[in-house]
Amino acid sequence: MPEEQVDARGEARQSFHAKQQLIASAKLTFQHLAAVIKNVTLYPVEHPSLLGAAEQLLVKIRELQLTRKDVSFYIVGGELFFDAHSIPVDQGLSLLMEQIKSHDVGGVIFKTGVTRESIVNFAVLMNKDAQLFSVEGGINAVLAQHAITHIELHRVLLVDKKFGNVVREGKKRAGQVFMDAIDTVQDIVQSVHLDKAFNMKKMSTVVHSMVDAILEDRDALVGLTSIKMYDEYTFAHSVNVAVLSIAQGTFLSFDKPQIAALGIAGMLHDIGKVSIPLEIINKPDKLTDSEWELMKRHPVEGALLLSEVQAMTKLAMVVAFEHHQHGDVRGYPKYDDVVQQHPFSQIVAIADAYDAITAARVYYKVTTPPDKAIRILLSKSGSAFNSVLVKAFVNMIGIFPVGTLLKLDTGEIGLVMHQTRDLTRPRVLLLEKFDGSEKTSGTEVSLLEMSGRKYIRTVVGTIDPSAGRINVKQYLE
Amino acid sequence: MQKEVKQDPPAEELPPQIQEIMRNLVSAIRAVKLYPRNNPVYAQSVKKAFEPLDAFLQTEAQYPVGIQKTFFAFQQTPIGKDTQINKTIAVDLFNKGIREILFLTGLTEQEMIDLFTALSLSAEDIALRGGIVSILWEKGATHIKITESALDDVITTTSDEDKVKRALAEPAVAQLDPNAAKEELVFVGRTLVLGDIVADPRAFGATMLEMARETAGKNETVEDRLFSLYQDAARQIEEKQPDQSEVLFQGLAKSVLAMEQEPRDRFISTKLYAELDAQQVREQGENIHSHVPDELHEIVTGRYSKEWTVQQVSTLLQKTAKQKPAAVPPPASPEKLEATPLPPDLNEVARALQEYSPEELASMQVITEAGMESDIIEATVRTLIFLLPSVKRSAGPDVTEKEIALFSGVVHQLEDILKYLLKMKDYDMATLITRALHMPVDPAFAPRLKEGVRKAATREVLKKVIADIHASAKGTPEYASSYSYLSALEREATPVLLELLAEEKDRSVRRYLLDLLKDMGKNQIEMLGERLNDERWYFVRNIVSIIGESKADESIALLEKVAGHKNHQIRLEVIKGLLGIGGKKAAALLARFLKDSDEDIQITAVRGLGSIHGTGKEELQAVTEFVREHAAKWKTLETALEGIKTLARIGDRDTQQFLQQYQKVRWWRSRKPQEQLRATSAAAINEIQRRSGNA
Repeated sequence: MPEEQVDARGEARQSFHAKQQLIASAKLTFQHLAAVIKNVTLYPVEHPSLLGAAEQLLVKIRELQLTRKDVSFYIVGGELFFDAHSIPVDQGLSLLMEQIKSHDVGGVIFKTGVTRESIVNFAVLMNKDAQLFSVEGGINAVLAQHAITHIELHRVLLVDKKFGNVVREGKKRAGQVFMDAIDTVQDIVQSVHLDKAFNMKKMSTVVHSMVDAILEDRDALVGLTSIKMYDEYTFAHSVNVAVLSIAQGTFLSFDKPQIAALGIAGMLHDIGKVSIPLEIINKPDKLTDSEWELMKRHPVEGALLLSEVQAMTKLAMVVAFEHHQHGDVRGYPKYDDVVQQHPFSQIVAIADAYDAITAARVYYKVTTPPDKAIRILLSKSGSAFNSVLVKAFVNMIGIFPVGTLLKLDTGEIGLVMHQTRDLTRPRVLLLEKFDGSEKTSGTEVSLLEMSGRKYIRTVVGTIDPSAGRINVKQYLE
Repeated sequence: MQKEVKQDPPAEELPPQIQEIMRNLVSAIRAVKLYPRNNPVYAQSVKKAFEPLDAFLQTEAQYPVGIQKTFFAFQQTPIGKDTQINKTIAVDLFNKGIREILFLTGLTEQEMIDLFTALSLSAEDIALRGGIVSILWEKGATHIKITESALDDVITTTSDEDKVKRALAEPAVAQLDPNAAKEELVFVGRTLVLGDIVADPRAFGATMLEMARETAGKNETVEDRLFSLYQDAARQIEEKQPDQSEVLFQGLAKSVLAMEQEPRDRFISTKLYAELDAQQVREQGENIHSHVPDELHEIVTGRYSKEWTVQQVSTLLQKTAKQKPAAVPPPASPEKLEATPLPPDLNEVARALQEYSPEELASMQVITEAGMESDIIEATVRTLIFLLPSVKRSAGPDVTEKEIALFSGVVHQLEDILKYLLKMKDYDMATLITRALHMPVDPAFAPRLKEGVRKAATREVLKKVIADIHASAKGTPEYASSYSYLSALEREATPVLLELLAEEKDRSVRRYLLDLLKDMGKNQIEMLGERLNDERWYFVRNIVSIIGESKADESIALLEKVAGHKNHQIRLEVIKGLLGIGGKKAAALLARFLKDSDEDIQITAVRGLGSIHGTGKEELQAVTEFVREHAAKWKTLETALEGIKTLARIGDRDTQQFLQQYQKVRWWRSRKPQEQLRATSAAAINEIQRRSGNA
């Protein structure tokens, strides 16, 4: 999985529908593998039922090989991956995953040319004692001894190490990209204040980096949006919306240029606020109705501003104009004609709303547990927001987004670091000291990990980090 | 940034392999620019450039191509500086803002082609697509790195010291009472004098910051502590000197604004404004998420500027005095952390969220196709049209220069898109734009819209549209689409169409254009009337024909203007028009043609009077006189007979009597014409009788 994840750029070229089909197909292939391994325990190797099951698996592998050289399954933290996609598993598949891991195998790769016989031999081997694999020369030497060709195995440790490296590199890079993006928004705002032209090249470069970073490790950059820095929040909000929109774009499998346009649009969605008089924006009191009406002009101001910028994607102007034109009655600016928001505006509107909900905890001390934030979005689904996009957004961000503190049934406290294919079972970093030391020395576990037929850890509640003065930022940067 | 290039170092210093690569690269850039992809020179040049470079990158990590104003360089050493080809290409690339191209190990031939293709674009196209870096990024070319100019523009802003000076220079709202000035502010471990707040706010602020740094607790930030200290100060002012509070809070605000930039900015935004925001939410109740994003969030995310005024900070500080001091939360420990239990239905919600119905997947498919040219154009046009009436900020009569410039910018964008749409023959969207260009706007904006309309309806544009209408069958969507564009511009299109019609040689096209004009022009009668004085008779005839067809109220008045035109074809066209319009006024005008100098016209008119609705006694009298006059001379007998036929249709009893005179045949006159007269008038008498009987 790690190599494929690094090359996850290809993800953006697949349509969302095709991706779902691929996941279903990969799951079916793994189910066929489970059937072959099970049948070996029931029938002799020449038995037609076993050979038939192996043949079916071979057909599925060949189908998948039509668009790729290798068909690779990886097991990381109790989760099954095919390419960069997390595959939903049921109880039966979980057992197979455990069986494979018990042999210290973290990755199974079917290469071009794999035969039915190799598959059967491999299934036989997987039912033998795990000790067999601890030979000198590595696990692939064991395969060769048993005449298993075109199947390659990766050790658990190697897979986890590679995965860990990818994650660490991703985080390091994400932090830099995030700060560059804030710097760029500050520059743009300054440019507007000084009536200077936007530095579009700088903007594009930053957005490209954001897209690349998200394609490499979505959770690393998305996690940074959960850190709300009040002093720079005005700028960070624009970056957060851009990150969440880009992440949604990659999740929906938009093409790279589309994702970049979405990122720019997200970053500049509120730029019209720069044109609102300072005495209103910085007023140390509640705004009057007329002042609020002026404030509501920011989509128009933003669109006017962006309409003049050369080489700017037109969608940035459209999104700036439409991002508050929700389907509900409180949308603005108001027009007589009923206009369907552009999908990009819908995506940015959801990201904007989500960031606003989650920011409220930090800024107005309104306690909104993460799952409640999702529920608020879902409650507006179909009225203010496109229901399908809200659903996709929640699937992308998770019910417990990265940066959420969780209380586990073991009494442990875990900080969500990555999403898995199960919305309620993310990967978490176990916290004990809360001083940031766990970032390097702590243990990261997946809540999908099982022992026997039971999950090892399960979430029982969420914790407000500000209540205990826990600096989540130190773990996510 | 591009480094300084050595002063004329000899290129010979560089190994021949490097020089050859550079030569080949420049040739390939040129070849890709000049030749189409299927030309052998193109492929050969790319191959010739790629192979040695690829070989070089097998041993070296990168090959840098520096681009100076007029030459290329390898690691700051110029190559082929005196070669004209190099110079031309270097100048071109430099002007396109490219400063360095770095080829990295792993480079593929396709990546190289993508680069050369991108370099061959015009500077405008490159700019439109976000620069070379963007183009290559979109292509996924990861083994080429480009350094472009203007990536590190420095934006100079007002210095912080200027801001501080401005704040401190703000005049005091009042003089501080000398007695109040001696009053002491007591903090933990430090006592400050109130007068210092007003006399030297900068020093006061520095002292407060120093105190905050010294006394901040383990779980407290400097800003937290500053907030506590200023809150304390504010409270003491309110308690000890309420009468002097205005001037003291002003001084307190100045002391904050004069602080070191970083802690000051953090203090104001993360503490003073944060407390204000939290207070507002508390007042509103926690129903803040009834609408997302909430209104307060909209304000918070608009606070881009850190240009706070003394008055704003003073108000914020006064508000802090009324708040309870915030307790510092205890440090985290797993046992003490309270968790919010999960709602019981969470797993069920999660399961439902993870499954997509076929309808949802289909809807997702549609969404993922967004961001393509067609929907971008549609959304852009829609937005720009919405922006037109929104440019003006206030409802008053005044329009600022800035607003006029913005409005012009929006129209300009629409013009650009319109040009493209017309090129692509997307008339539906083009029509939306032209309709928008006709919207009512503030008088100050009207000339710009008018200019937009003029550009949308140039002779060249309309000619193409008309050709497209002509090329598509009536009733087809293509016809309707292109026709709608013309209709949206009928006022502007009509004069152009008239000119085209006047110039057209092909009769069938003329007929076609005339039909179009009759349709377009029916709402443009007034404008058409203004062109009746044109010197070209055929031009006027066309207009008369359109006016006649229009059947508008003012048509007869306009036709009357040309009823006496010297050209008989125009007069004939007037008669045709009158016959089409009908009614009393038309009949009256038609009767005037009985006295026309041209016999054909007389005949047409008299025939017309027999068929037109609205003839009365005057017209009957005129025709009777006409018959009398023409029947008297055999030369005009045919004309008289036409008149009698008309009398048969419109005549009354008096007419019968009048016609009786033609029943007698006089022996001294030629027999044949008299018999013709007798027969025709007898038929007319019978016809009048029949009609009278029926009546």
